[in-house]
Amino acid sequence: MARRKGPEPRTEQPGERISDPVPRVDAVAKASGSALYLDDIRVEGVLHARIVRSTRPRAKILSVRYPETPAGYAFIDARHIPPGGANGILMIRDDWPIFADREVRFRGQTIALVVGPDRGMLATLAQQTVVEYEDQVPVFTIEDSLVCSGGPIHDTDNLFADYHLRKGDPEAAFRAAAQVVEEEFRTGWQEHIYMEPQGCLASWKDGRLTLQASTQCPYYLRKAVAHALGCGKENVRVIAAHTGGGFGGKEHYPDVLATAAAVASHALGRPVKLVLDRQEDIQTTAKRHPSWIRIRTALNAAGGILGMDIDTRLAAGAFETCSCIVLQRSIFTSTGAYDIPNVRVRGRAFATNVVPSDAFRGFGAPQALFAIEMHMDHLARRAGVAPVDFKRRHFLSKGSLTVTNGRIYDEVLLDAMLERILAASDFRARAASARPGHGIGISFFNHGCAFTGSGERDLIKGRVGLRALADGHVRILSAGVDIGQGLSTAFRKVVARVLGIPLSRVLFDQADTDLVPDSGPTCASRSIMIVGYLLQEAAKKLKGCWTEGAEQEVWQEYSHPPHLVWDAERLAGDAYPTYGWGINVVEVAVDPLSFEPEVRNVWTIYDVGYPIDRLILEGQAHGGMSQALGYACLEKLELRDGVFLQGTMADYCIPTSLDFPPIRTELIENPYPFGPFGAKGAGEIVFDGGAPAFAAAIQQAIGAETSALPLTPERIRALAREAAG
Amino acid sequence: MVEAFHPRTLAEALAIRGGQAAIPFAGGTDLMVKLGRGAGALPGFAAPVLFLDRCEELRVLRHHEGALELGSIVSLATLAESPLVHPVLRGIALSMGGPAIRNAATLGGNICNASPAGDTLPFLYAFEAGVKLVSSGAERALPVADFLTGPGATRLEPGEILRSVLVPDWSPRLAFWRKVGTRKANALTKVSIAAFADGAEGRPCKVRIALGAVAPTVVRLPGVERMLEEALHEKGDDAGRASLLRGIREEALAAVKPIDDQRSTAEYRREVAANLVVEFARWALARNGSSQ
Amino acid sequence: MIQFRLNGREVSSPAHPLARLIDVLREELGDVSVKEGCGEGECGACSVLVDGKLMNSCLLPVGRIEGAAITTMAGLRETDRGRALIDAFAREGAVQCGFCIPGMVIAAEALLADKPSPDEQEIRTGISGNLCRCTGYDLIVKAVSSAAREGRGLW
Repeated sequence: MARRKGPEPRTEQPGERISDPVPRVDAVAKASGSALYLDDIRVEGVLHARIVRSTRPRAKILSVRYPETPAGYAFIDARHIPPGGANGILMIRDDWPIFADREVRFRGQTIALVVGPDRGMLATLAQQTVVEYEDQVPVFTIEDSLVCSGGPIHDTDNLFADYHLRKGDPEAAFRAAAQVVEEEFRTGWQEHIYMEPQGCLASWKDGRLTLQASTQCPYYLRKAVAHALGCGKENVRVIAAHTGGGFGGKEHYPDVLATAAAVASHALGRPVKLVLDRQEDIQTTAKRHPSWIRIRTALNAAGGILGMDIDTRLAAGAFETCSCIVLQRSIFTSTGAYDIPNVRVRGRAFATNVVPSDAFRGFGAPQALFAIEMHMDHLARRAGVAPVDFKRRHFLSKGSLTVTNGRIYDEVLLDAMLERILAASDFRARAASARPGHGIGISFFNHGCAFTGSGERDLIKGRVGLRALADGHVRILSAGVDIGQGLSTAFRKVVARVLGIPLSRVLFDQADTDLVPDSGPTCASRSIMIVGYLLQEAAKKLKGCWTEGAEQEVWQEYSHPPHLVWDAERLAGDAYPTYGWGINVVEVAVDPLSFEPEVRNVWTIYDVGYPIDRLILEGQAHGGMSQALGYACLEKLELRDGVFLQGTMADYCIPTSLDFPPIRTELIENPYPFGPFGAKGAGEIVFDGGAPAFAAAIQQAIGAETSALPLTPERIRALAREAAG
Repeated sequence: MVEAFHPRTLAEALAIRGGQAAIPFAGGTDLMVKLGRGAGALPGFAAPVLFLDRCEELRVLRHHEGALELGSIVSLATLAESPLVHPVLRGIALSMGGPAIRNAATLGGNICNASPAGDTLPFLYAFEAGVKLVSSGAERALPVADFLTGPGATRLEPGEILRSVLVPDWSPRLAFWRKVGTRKANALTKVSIAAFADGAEGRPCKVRIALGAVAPTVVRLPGVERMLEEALHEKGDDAGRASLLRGIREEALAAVKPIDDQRSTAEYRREVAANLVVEFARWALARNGSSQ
Repeated sequence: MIQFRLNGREVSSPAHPLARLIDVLREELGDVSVKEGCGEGECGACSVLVDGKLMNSCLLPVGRIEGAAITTMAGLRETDRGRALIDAFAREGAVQCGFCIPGMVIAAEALLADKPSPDEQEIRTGISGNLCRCTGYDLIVKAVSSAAREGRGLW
């Protein structure tokens, strides 16, 4: 293995560290209610839009009859796509039509927009639209999709992807096995519930489409809208409004709304604003992929692991979105924090007649981590070893071969992190003394930072600029969006620190594709690590040529660490440049009468390289854990006839301030040479491990193994009853 | 678009209610959700709306003739803070919605909404509370248990407004209530219980038990009440107690008719309801003969 | 015409009495400091004070609040109490995406007006009708506590 050369060590000012908290630059405007989110934007002559939706999960459209429209109202559908445009929402593929015209593949799919000045009238007109369908047999489960019930929805086999990984010699391992343990794990949908519902404002004027949107990825929107209108990307301008939460839900999904609104604006020559109401948002926007993962482990006579065979199945929904990439991350995370020799992994993403699943914090990793963490926990119990001790024997370390036959190039501090969290939580004593109905669980996990494989180099090719103004201000030019993760503060801190200027002299506006280069999407735990590093390097360049009172510009292009090796065809090599690492401990009590779980204590420790701002990291750790515990036990989406039963905020329960206790957080430093000041990605690792730690705690409390999420009181009761016999 | 009326007196309100078949609107926290048509749209009221919040006669909170009279538009927040109100009903009010909802939502609204999961209802059934209904011509009183006939259904006649709720004076020695909700705050109820026991060994005993969200309307458990009254009156032994609790569990399981819905399952509700009833019984028997 | 006071100023709305207060505030009166997160009274992003009482403006028909004094974040931010809360939220790292925060601050004001020195449980109860997806609430609780301490004498 070639030893790679890191860049020069970062310099720190004596005394104050960059990680010392500063008030976020946007906090006052947001708290005051003066920051403008998408629906707050007022534009002269704007028309509102409402989506006319399919009421069937799978059907051919035979006819669509619109009611008579009063003056000032119009229905917009596939007929209004301009020549040269396309009726396809270009994400990775454009298989998802902007307006369904021949068939519908999920309940709630867009058939048309009705546009006009009064939203009450729009609701009425949408309701009065009559669509004639020829129903087909819908597919709601992976099982039904596997056998292509009702004929394939997609291609000939309903598979958006079928991937295979192979490490070592799994066949030999299974031949040599004294024992094989097989288990299956299931997780359900999760809805993002960003507090700001999705929305956009499209305005076609003088041959250009200007789009304002609640979004994580302005350049994705530009690409999709240009494709829809056939107008060339240079004729599309996207401006990110303040975005009230994303979590992956505003990574690709905004393309669905923006393309429809853009077509409408182009057809009518008026600005068109499309904002979802919450119930629409819950029912019809992208969700976390449900998973069904089977793990078979070959054990030797002493109970040691010889190899694993993992079959990962994700329910992708009606169209592809980024399911293939979610699946990739899921299978790359199959063995989690462990070095398992001899692994065979198969991953499939299945088409179903449900709203398409897409990015959601963790992006396939939480599903894989739940499976591997619970499985290792169960193997430990079968071996008569405490899960902590069983799991730690298998930790990955620097130099380990990953499941894609890549390398862990950086120090892995899991052992040191484990010692700290065991001490902080008094884990062993609590585990030993837990009375019936009480339990404590621990999870270990990692998260590959940034885009898979060579994605940063070959697909994104991120670029940033710094513009020094004559008055001494420096403007950051990047398309990164602050969705609450503190990016607008963290980026400024990096630049200010390198240049040695006060934070207040660094400017960073909300992304406008006319004004900033494409530094890549705001996702994949890449913004600080990849884009922040580009800013650090750009700032060093600028510092080196700084001329007082002059206007200067420097640009920085992404440069791929040369030691990384990746074969995108075979999915082999270094899937990620580096990893974040985490350990979570959750302590619970289960009510003996109602089986309601009460989370008593939570401890977390993370290696995210180095925190650009400790308070930002702390807030992310709290929020990630809250969302993970919601995923673990509160958030439930059940499907009936293609509609989610929990379709309102009353019924889809996210945690309130009274549901969970304060969350303890700790960080361990492990600087990464290609991250700014050593920082790695953090946005997703803070979510990844909460559910398995919770589930392990529930297991101890009820004396039964768990293998599915969410662990609602209903499920806990059923497991406890089964265990009681 | 329908009209909205905002009278200042009950008499005015009744005239409008009778004359216009207007919909009584107290806090509106159920109506505005049910009839909402989204941002920028008027909610879909099909009949004129009668805002009641200015009718002070409907806001009484007073002791009167052996009962606490609670005006139908008394807010849940007021209920939660009033020292005149039984601590269990105060606790129940505090467990409903969040602070903003409690400032608007009313006792009368919770009753007239007649949800099988209505939070105030088990308490009212257990206390055998009554409702006073008033129209322009007349006034009548009914037990709450007769007033509510099914999910979303009451005996409120056209022209009538729920005037007040009468909660008989009673300070039972033992009070037990629990709401099992979908989360720890701002939660809809999956199963709830309000149970009370009075009297002691050798003295007349009175037990009242009511379960919510396990049937179309609140379930009283007269069989269990009699069993427990007898057991509290007599001195029992441990073997007898175990068999009694088993019998109580059987009765409770048989008395409830829960359903599967988006919040929970019939199986879960059935078992948890029985657990709560048995826990109350066990607790009441254990406290029997004690000074409290 | 429906008359009421908004942040101390007399206003008059020609809206239908059943129009939601949130729509009158946001669309007609241009006060976008009030946010719509759900339209069902679950998230609290639309919280306002009605004669000092915390209420969800998405559930209030404007006719129902005729004659009342309404306070929104646009008004509260001009007061010492509002500024103390905003500073505390900023200082303690309680603001992430920020969408829930105006509602949280309004709820905090309602809480502190009633209980000037709340403990943690009282704060959590005070904001239990305000949902946040970003922060997990811990730093918001800290911010309210901090405002109460630093703003001694304000409440």
